[in-house]
Order: sequence, then C-alpha cells, then structure tokens
Amino acid sequence: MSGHQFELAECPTDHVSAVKFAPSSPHRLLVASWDKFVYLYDTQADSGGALLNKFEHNAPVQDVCFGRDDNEAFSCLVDGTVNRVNLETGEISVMSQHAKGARSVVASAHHNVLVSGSWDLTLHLHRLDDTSGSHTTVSVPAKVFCMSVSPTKVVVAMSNRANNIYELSDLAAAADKGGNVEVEPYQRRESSMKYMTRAVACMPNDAGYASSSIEGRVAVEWFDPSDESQSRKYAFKCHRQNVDGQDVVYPVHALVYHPVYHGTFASGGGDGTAVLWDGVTKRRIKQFPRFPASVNSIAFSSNGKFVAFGVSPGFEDGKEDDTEGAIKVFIRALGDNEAQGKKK
Amino acid sequence: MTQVHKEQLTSVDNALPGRQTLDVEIFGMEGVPEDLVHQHSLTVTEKHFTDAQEFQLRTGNVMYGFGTGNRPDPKRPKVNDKVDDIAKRIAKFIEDKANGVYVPETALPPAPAHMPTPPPFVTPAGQFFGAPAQPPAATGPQALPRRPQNVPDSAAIAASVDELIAGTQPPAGPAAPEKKSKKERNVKLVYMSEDISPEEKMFERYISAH
Repeated sequence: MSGHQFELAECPTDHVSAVKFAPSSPHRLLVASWDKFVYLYDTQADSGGALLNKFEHNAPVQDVCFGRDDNEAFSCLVDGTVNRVNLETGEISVMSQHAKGARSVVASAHHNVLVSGSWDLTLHLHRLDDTSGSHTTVSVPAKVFCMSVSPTKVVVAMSNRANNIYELSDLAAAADKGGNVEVEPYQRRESSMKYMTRAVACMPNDAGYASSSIEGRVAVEWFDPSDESQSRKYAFKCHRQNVDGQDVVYPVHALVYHPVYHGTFASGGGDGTAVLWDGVTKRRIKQFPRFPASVNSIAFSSNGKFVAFGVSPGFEDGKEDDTEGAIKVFIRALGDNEAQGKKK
Repeated sequence: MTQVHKEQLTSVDNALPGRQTLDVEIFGMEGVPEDLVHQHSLTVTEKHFTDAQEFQLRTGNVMYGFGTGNRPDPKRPKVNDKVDDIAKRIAKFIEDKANGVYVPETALPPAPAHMPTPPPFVTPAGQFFGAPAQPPAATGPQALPRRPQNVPDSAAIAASVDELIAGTQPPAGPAAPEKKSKKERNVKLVYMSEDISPEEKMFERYISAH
C-alpha cells in the first residue's frame, strides 16, 4: 500500500474547504465544501472509497470537525451558523449564530468544549454534550482566520498578524458561564511572519505550533515562554516557484502535524504541491506528486497511516472560476517509515 | 542580533584591539565612525604628499598633477573663438544668470582625482572664469592645482574631506526602502492582501453570484 494514492470517486462540486479524519477509524473522512454539503466517506470501502452520506446545509461550509466520537461532527458556515451534525441520523441542529461568517471550528473531547471562530471578532464556546443551544461569546481583537487545538491549548490565528493562545481549561470553564465573557489568553503573540497568517497547526505533543502565511512561509514556535524555548523558533520559505527569474510565491493554505511521528508535519500550498517536513531536523522529508490545483486542506488519519488532500482551484486571485475537473479529494497511504523524520 | 546568532554577543571575536565593541553598525559606507574616517583620510593625504616630495627629490621632476612650478602651462590650447560666439555666450550667460541658471561645477576644470582640496571648495573666485562655458583648460592660473610645498593644514583638508563625504552620502531614510524594493523586485505574491482572507473574497463572490 506504500505510496498508493487515489482520488475519491464522488467529489464535492465546489471548493473543498476542509478534510478531517475521524478520531478512531482511520478510514472515516469528513469533507466540507462550498457546495453547502458535508460529505462522509469510507475511504477503504471500494477502490475509490464510498460516499456514506452527505449533509446539506443552508450555506457554504467553511470548516468541519469531529466531536466526541466518530458519529458526531460540527460544522460552521459562511453565514455564521455553527451546527451539530449527527452522522448516523443525518440530523443537523444549530448551536449558535455568529454575526459574520464562521471560519473555523475545533473541538476537544477531553475538555468537552467546542470553539468556533468567526470574522465577527468573536469565539463561541459550547459544551459538546449541551444540546440546549446555549453558548458563551468571547471577543477577540481581530477576525479569526484559523484555529488549531492541542491537548491543552487552542491557537487562534487572526487578521493583523495577531495570535492568541488559550488554555482549553479556561475556555471550558468559560463555556459554562454563558453570555459575553472575557477570557484572558494564556499568551498573546504577534505572528513571526510579515504577512497574513493562513494556517496554523499545533504539535500533538503540546509543545508548540506551526503557522503559515500567504507569502510562502512556515514558522515553527514553542508555547514555553522561556528564552531557551523561544530561541528555538524558526521560519522557512516554501511553496515557491522560479518562473523566468521571477520568484512566484504561493500562499501556504494547509498545515497539519502527523499524529504519531512528533515533529513531522505537512504543508499544502497554492502551487498545488504538498510537502512533508521534519520539524525537528528541519529537513524536507518528501514532496508529494503535484496536484491539479491548490492544496487547501490536509488531514492525517488518527493512526498516521493515511493522508487526505483537499484540492480545489482558486483561493487565490483570478483562478476561482476554473472549477472544472480540478476539485478532488486524494487519499494516500503512507509507507511504514515514510513520515518518520530522519534519524538523528 | 540574537535572531541571527542565536546567542547573546558581548564582543566581536578576532577584531582589532579597540574595535571589539558591538556598537558599530556599518552598512555600505554608512555608519563608519567619523573619527576613523577622518584618521584614514589624513593618513592617505599625508602619504600622498610624502610620496610626491620623495619623487621630486629622487628625479628632480614634479609629480604629475602638481603643476609645473613657476611657469604657466606651455601647452595651453588655442582658443579660436569668433567674436560672435563669444558675444552669444556672454548673452546666454547673462540670460542664464538672470534666470537663476547657474552651473559652475560643469564649467569648471575637472579636479585632479588625487587633489585633497578641489577648486570648487577652496577657490570660489575661479568659478567666474569657467562660468560662461569656456573650454576647461582655458581657465586662469587661479584654477591651477596646488603645489606640493603649499601643503594645506590638516584641519582644512579634514574639513573639505568631511564636506565631500557629506555631499556624497545619501540621506539614510530613503536609502533603506530602495534596497528593500530591489531585493523583492523579482518576487510575485500570488495572493496579496493586508487583512482580507481568500475565503472572505470568495464569500463576496458567492454573495454577488447568488
């Protein structure tokens, strides 16, 4: 199976906004799309995977995540709605409504909290097991562009290059209060990159996070505020092409850490490439074969054996309309040591 | 500093004694400590005049560029200007002067490269001779290069050198962004926006399409 790659048979009809593997099954994949649907696949059922179900929403879906188990999911839409999706029954219930588009949604089963981030400068906090529709609103200094959750923390990357890092325990405590609550972040940071933050991914070992910008760059930094840890942070250029002596710089849309090999992470860019990096030795492990369009979302399965790529054109100026035949979800089986970093 | 070296530096290793400090930050020719520049220019000037004197002692000749002693230059070029041309030039000069067009530098003889004190700064009277676009070599004896005996006092040299340096130094402000643009000239960002994410743009398109 090593290196085997295939595309899902029944792909979304509009831009793929997110791909997410289930917390336990390595074959269960959620795909969110601007065609208003959330798709649930069994990636190993047939040669091209099988579409188990699809869930229609009222507006394009910007993000999706699994909840406490493989049958619970949460979605957020451009109209600001945050939904609970029961993957067994297909029931969709509204959990809260942001004033503007809800961009990102993350859940922590351990802390029993769901966090949604929106362009209306707020986070909404929900208890995963609370179906009453109550939520807590936390204001943030800028538009939320992306979020990532680690075992104890949430990194919220916003416009104006602002990053807030929250303790999940603080957010979980605030989620019970309801109404508008001020939650003091664990840390406030300015992005170490010059341009808009595009994606963020926490290390699974809770040590730090990586973030990427629209200007072909990835920065890796650590939570620990000590000078020793902060001096370890670094940034590097990627997803660039030299065309006739001109450096064409693509945004890095997707960033995700490998769940098993700590330190290995994958980045996907507007150049249609996805790359596996070893964040410890600061080496490139491998570059996957070029995809037909921008790589907008990447996910590793819980056991780290499979990787999914959400591919669709656009998300950059000028190419949004060429959607014909370029919207795909690719699944790739990784070899035993393919994602393992170089031995030190 | 810490970002580049990943450690706190207190002094520069292997630097000349007295130069280990971290305060000096030199970019191109900017930021060189003034007293060092001064010292260096003094050394160069002194060496030059010493060389010239040695040359004269050894050979009996005057080193090139130090004039011809008592005689005026025998190879003064012929000036066969017509009276009309001169009249025209005078008319133009008067007109230019009335209009405020005054370009003494271009009309003056080019200063010998090794002259520590070029005429534009020390003999303003010489400017008049060059002003009405005369051929450079036709200027009067005022514009002749200095003789080695008249070694100007070091303060005057330093002052004029400082003046020269000041005149060639671009203002520090605009210089930096210019360099930046040069560095990034060949870079094309596929997506560029200060704080509008691609999804927000897609949403705007979505709204206008539905």
